[in-house]
Amino acid sequence: MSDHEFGATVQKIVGEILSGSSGIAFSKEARDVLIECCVEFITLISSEANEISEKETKKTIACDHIIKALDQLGFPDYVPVVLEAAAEHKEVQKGREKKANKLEQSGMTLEELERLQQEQFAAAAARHN
Amino acid sequence: MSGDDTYAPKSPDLSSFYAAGPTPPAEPAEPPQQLFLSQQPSQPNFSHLQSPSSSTYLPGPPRQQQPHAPHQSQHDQLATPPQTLGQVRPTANHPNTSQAPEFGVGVGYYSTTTQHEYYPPPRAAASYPTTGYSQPGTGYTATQAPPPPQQQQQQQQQPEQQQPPFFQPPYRGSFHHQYSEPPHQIPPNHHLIAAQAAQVRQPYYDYAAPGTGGDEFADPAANGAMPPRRAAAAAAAAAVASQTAAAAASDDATTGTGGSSSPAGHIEASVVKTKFPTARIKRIMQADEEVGKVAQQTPIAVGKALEMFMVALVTKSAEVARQRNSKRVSAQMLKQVVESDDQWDFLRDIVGKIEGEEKGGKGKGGGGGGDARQGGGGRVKAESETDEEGGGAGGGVPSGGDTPVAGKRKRGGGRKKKL
Repeated sequence: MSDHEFGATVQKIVGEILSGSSGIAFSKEARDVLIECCVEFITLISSEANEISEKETKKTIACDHIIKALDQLGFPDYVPVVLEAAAEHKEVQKGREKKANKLEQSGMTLEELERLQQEQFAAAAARHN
Repeated sequence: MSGDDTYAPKSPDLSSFYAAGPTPPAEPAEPPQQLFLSQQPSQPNFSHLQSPSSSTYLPGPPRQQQPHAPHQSQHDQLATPPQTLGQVRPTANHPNTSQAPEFGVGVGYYSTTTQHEYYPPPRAAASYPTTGYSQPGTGYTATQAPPPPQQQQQQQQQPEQQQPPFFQPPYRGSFHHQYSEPPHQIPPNHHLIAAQAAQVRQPYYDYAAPGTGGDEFADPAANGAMPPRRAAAAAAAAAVASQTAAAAASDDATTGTGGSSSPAGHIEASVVKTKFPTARIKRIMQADEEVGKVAQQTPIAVGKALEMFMVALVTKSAEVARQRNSKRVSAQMLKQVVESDDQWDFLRDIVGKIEGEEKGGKGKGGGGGGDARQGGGGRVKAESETDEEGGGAGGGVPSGGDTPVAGKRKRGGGRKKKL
């Protein structure tokens, strides 16, 4: 399937997790097993969520169903963080345009921006005079 | 305000509203200061700075003043207090100071409902962003900004806040939004800020977000306001502690846009920065034929859960490796970890394939896995299985003994039955 790319992501995240711990690395075998475990985890969660959504006669698996599935499958401790991530994503989606505002993207300080603005004002004024 | 009359010719708008019009077109900030306090060294600086900021509204400096003038005129009475506010604390020259207490009360109420509005006015009153900023630091700090927090109102300057609503709209249009908003954040912080300007900002941001949804406001405002203020603050800092705080805040702000964003990032506090590709997660989810549509957010939730799952699994595995003085996490170790917790039942089939590659490791694993499940897994060496397996796993054990078998993988089910 898409195991190659997925495996690469898993590998990368493992590296990030282990980056803080004194040079411990994952063996190739362990990594392969871990990848399988990850896929299994997704499958488990999604099939549980699917059942839940079917019980609710919903055709689409929503975030709620994932939360409930996590809860039922013995991962209630994941729920708060997942909720937070979902909410954050929602926010990001909503505010993506707003937050990616020009001010922050300009890479200029306020002084610089002000100066630029003044220059532009002057240019505009000159144009109209 | 008295001085306004002299200026009045320049700003008709002001006269219409209140005739207070302290702000001549060129230098709105200075006149008010002189009139009211005449003490603030920072104001001059602001006037220069402000003019540019104000310019956003209008190309020409004079033009800018006009737009502001109306606002100011309305707020003149109110506005003046803010200017004095910073100074006022030390000196009770103005009526505002005396009135302040009353306002304070009112402010408290207002703050809850119309906090946003209040903030902008202070700035306007001050003359402009620059003054406004300075004020927030000084006068506002205590009263105006606090409204969101409400508690900070302590200072008497609150009256100003009421007026702000008018002003706000214009400012927001351009950079001003940022400016106007900062005051809110600043005030609450001020107390803190005096001591820790840089640190303060983060708190500000936080306040802004919850209180007004002003994330946008806070950051930009801080940034914009801060630079000019600093210079002023340096001069006037001695006069008012709050100003110093503001200046510090400004410094932070300058560097700060990034800083503002940082708080949000901290929330996660996760080591993992890489996100699972949602498309891939979705595909894996839908590999199950029964799974139909998936909401857009679902893969993100699953990805996050998966991330936590990985963190738990990997860190535990790393611990095992460390205990064994190994630098590499072997599949065997992973297996041990999986078998050590019921939470990961569903992985036993996968892990079951793993043979004890490491002789020593197996022993340990068996010990740790001691649970019935491990026994059921059969993969674990007979040693560990002995007791537990005896009862439940009996059926599965034979095949499982030492060599993993496909059948064992299915154990998951088998175990459940047993259990």
